[in-house]
Amino acid sequence: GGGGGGSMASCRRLSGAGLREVLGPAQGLLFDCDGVLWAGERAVPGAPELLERLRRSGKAALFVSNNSRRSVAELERRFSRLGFRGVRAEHVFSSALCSALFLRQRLLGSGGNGSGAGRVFVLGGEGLRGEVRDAGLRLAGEGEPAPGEPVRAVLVGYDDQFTFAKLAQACGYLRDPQCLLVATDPDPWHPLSDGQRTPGTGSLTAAVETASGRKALVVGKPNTYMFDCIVERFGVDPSRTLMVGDRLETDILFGKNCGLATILTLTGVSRLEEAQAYMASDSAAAKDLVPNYYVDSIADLIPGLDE
Amino acid sequence: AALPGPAPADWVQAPLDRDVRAVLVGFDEHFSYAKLCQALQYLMRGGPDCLLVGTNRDHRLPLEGGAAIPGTGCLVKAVETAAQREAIIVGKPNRFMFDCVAREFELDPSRTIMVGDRLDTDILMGNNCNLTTLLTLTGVTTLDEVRGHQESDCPARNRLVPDFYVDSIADLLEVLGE
Repeated sequence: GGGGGGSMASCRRLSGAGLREVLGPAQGLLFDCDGVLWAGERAVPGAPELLERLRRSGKAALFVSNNSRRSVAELERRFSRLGFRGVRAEHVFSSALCSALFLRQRLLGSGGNGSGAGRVFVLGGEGLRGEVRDAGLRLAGEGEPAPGEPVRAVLVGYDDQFTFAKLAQACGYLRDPQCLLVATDPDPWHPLSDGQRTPGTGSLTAAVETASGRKALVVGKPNTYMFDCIVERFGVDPSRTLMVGDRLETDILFGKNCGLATILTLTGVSRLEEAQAYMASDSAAAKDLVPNYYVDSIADLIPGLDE
Repeated sequence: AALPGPAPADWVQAPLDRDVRAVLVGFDEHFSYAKLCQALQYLMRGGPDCLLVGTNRDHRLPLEGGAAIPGTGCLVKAVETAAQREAIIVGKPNRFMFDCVAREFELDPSRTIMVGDRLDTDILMGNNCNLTTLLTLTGVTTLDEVRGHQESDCPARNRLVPDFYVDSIADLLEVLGE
């Protein structure tokens, strides 16, 4: 890198000799899922083959997703259903899983046995609730009257059953300054296959923050906690690992924050023009959103791997 | 209109009303993800031609005993975040409501007093409209808060300071006629 904090990313297309130079030394790749490996129910053409070729080259493939709807067990089944071979739940780091791990750390601590840990009020679906339970935590029920075992955390995730009543209930718990406010991810919206958008966790978190006067601790990208979870389980070396994603404000910034070189793929949310606009900007914050490299699709990485 | 099915994939397929040109967010105790989803569809379809308007930004509506329920501001923030755009806010401290009243009743700002309990809505609007501002202490604001803004170097905070205060509006009876 250059002087100071490392060289500035310059958003170069990865192909040919450059591609082999970048992929050759890499020990592993972290992939975002939506918009990178698949779009809706369709795998990105060539993506399953890329993962297979990575395996044969002896390079690790791990997955880091802000999507808090599904448990990692459901995600393992999804990989298989969409044609990806050999991906196991332990390779998949979703914001649902990592939020549960984060809460387990904060509420149970190391060696805690759960008594007096308190309950968690979850705004989210069954996938998220299941991860919290699997982490050994107890959930507060909806519409339950106080008192009872105290609620020590409110967890905001993707909740398509979000209501004013749940918002009010969450605020009641947050009057206790000891009660944590945690959000699975900051995403304001998610794309649907036909170009439409659906509101994301970020919009629900904004409502809870405004009502409670509190700032949420956000587990997902671009914050680095999910990378800490990956390092703890697999001991990854950031200088030999590449981050591949489709969203500049989450995936690419996450890579930058974790010290990973970044590759933007254009099969998802962000457009090349947006990356170039960040690159042309005067703001230091904008520079952190510029990927080192880009490809049209992750299938373009295949020629960079040994036969 | 009822939503066609239980999940977001259904909701985004719901036909949109052709004539909708604005999304208006007010206090809604039946606010839901489904409504948020529909609001987002209208704002995306219309782009800048579909207005996003909020009635006010209050965070909380206080109840007795220190409890509070979420205010309209929370719902406005949810829509703004999903749509990645800022709402036009009609309520105080925006001067729109004063302009409506002033026009209707031909008010002279230099001879009008604004009475309120909240600095960042009532008093700020009054100051912005060049009214005389009077804070009453029977509501959410304490004198300590006012002093803090008064002593601050920040001009935005100075604009929250009222011209006068009373402990209660009943104190005005003293000076009003026989």
